[in-house]
Amino acid sequence: MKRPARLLFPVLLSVYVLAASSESVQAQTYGSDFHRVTVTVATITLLQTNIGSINLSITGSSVIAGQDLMTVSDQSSTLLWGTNSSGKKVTVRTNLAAPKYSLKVAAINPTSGTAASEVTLSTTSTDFLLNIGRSSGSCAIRYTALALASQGTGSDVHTITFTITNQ
Amino acid sequence: MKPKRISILLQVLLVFVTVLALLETAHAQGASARQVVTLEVLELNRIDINMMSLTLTIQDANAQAGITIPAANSDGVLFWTTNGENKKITVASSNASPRFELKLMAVDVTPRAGVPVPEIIFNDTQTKDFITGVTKTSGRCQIRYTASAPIQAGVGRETYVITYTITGS
Amino acid sequence: MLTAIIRSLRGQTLALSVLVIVLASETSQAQPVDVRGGNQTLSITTGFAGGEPVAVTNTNSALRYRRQAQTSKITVRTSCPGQNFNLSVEAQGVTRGVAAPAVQLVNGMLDTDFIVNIPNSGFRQTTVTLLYTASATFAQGNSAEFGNDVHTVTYTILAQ
Repeated sequence: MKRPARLLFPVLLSVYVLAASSESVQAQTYGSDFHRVTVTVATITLLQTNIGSINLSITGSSVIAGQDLMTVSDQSSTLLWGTNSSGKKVTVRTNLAAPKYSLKVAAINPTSGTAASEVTLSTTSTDFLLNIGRSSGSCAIRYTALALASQGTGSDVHTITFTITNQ
Repeated sequence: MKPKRISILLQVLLVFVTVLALLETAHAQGASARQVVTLEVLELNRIDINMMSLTLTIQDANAQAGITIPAANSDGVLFWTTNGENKKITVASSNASPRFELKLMAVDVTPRAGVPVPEIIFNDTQTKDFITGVTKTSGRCQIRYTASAPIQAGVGRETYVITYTITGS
Repeated sequence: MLTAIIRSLRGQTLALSVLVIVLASETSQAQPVDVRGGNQTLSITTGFAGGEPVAVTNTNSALRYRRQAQTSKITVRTSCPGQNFNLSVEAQGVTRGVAAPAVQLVNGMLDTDFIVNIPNSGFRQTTVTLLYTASATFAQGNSAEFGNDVHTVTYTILAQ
């Protein structure tokens, strides 16, 4: 009668070990842990031109004999923007209160948003690009200067300011 | 005022100034871009003509008077523009000793665009004033050529190269 | 006979209890996988006009994991209801196992392999750096309009 009793321990141990390992195979997961990661995105509004200064010069090729109006255009610079806010537009103005000649500006081929109509620059901010909310993009800046022969010679120096603002 | 209060006041002021500076920096960096555009208009003079060549043919005569009847042409139009001051338009012929007689006159000059001189006779290659008092203006006029030939000049053909120039007075 | 069995069991129960206690104490020594460094925040604050906001990275947290009885792997998943922005994670400095390429953390994703082929010998535990990268496009907006993305990122170690 003592022999079966002595065998009991190894049998029970085997059962325990088998049960434990079988459970391990079933679950396969040893453990897990977590933490929280927060992503914040600030309000970002960026605007820049790729060229800091532009020189427009009315030359002989801009003049037609018999016409008072002389014009010259420049489309060499680009305006770049990025905004992650909705409902934005770009306005433009000059610091020159009384220019001798007329200077117009227009946004050409914007990659997003809508170009406003060509505007004659003044010290009052005027729409340049509309509907640029939550986008990045670029457009060519086209300046067109108009001078009359009757206005004679001279020069104007404008500091043009483009601004992203609420639409 | 106690030193402690002054210190607190200064700290509050510092924070206020810092916040203002940050706000200003963000505005300048983010929301606007500047570009300097310089427009320069130098002195420009332009002159052009719509008809590069024309022919005048004397083909009739007045038997009683014993003279040929002059031929005229007013088809040519001269255009000019200048943003300079005290300019004039001159004219010169390439024919140093013409056999026939060629005259030139400006007709219907744009008001305030210049003052035409009386009729010019091309009897040499000297440059002659055609329109004077051209200042910061654009204008046009008809060019009237009149050709005549004395009987004794006979028949033949002559070519004139007429050069119009806008120049300083 | 029953008495003998009971008597025999008394001694062996003690042995069994000792075995269980040993196992339990080993378990309590260290978690199988443990995120260290606490909660993290990544803030995107600048960008390029004509381009996109600049992505930011964070390596301030780490993952410590223990050798298991079998070859194992670690998976990752996230829960982030209403997610607007982009977040990825990559294990750096992995010497026990093989790091998977950066995993994009997307709300509702399934458990995705993060470190695989973790050997069952040769080490007791190891720690790797968690490299989080947050990015956003201008079109994705900002936190003022859409709120922050709060991810609950869960790492699980399991038999491979």
